[in-house]
Amino acid sequence: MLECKDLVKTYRNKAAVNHLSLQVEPGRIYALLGPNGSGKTTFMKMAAGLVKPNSGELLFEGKPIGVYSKAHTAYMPTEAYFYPYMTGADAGKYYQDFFDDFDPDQYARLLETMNLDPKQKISKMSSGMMAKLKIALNLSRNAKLIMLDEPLNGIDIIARDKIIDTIISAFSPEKAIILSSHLVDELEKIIDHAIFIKDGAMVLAGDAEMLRMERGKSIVELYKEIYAE
Amino acid sequence: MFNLMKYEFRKNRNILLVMGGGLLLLQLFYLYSIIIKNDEKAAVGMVLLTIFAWVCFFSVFILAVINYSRELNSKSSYLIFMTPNSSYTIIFSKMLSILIIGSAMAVIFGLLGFLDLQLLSATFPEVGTLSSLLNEMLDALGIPLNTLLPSALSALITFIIYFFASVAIVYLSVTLSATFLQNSKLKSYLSVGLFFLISFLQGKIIDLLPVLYDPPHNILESILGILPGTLFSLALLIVCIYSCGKLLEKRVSL
Repeated sequence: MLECKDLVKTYRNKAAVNHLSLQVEPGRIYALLGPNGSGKTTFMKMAAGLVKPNSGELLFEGKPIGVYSKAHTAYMPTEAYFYPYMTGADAGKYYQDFFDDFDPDQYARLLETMNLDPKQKISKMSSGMMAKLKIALNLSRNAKLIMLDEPLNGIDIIARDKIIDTIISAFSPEKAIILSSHLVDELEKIIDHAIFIKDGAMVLAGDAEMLRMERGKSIVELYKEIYAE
Repeated sequence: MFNLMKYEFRKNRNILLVMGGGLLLLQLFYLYSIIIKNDEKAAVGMVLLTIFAWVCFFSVFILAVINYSRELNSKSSYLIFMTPNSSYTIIFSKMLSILIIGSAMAVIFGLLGFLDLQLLSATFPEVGTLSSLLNEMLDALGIPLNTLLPSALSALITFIIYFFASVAIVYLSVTLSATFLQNSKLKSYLSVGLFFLISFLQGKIIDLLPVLYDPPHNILESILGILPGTLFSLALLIVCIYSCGKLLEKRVSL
């Protein structure tokens, strides 16, 4: 579904993504793991078409990132990206206007599940509420590729379980989900595939179960081993 | 495209409402002066309305450029650039929205101005005499009234092309600062410098182009006379929009 070959992105001569090559297949949940500044967000932004790589190839279903890929990719950034005037309802209307795969009924259900008032201005929401709203918006899309950047950031322990349940229920065999997080232990139970990134380059990747078996360690332990150095 | 433009209008809604409110207040003041037949107040109202119209007209374009610059440097740009639209569609929708807002403003202010002048002539007959004098003067200058409408239309189109070419140059400078010059600490200065450089070159090239109807015998001829310059500005406008789209398509990093 998503294929990247030798991808490079530099900012002021510093490589944010450094010759990264990977493949994302449908029917799997991927965890993009690494500390802050490891290149996870830059990679996701490139796949979402918000950042252009300096070199390398990035294809979605064999086509370069563009209008087609954007129509089938839901990307949830870490930042607040809404217009100041927007309420939760306005944001839903915006997604409905631009994305054919947006389901307004699903959005209404998710807002209710997450105890969010659609009439509340987004700029007045707490960081946790905003995070839940972004999740609701992006999981209301029936997109082929769903990328959630730090979906558990700023969310309390109880709401985390709700979000993880929502992510699992949004998953289907024709979709791929990429999650990035520092909270590896929270993701360990739901991921099929782990990709460890360090200084913009992939240091370890593979089927989560295989990695556990081959290395005799959990994903959390592998994370500590790779990044503690 | 329609949806993109809808949200462009929505972003400008508040400032347009403020402008509408200001216009309403000034218009009420003017109508009040007409009702009480106070020519001094009517003149003040007319002058204020004229100044207000020009300020509003130019503010829309300045705000559009500021909004675009802010958008490329803020996270709200994700909202637009995540949507399944090409960069060309995005930039074109922005330009078209400004054109529609600007044109609507020109029509509203123009119509109100015309109606206000009619009202002024009806209330103060001496103004009617003044307008007859003006017509006679135009005739004496070789500007027959039957060419006034095509002249005014040509002048408006010429003005819009020249003006939009300048707006497109600003857009290109802002886009360059957010793409090619993104990693430069001097990007703001460089983009301003670039705007002046392109505008300077535009002026120089227009100066080199031939002037038709030299000397012109009426307004229409004088406008048609600068047609090569106008066509060059139109070409520059198209090149700038295309370049903005190309830069955003190939180099954008939000």
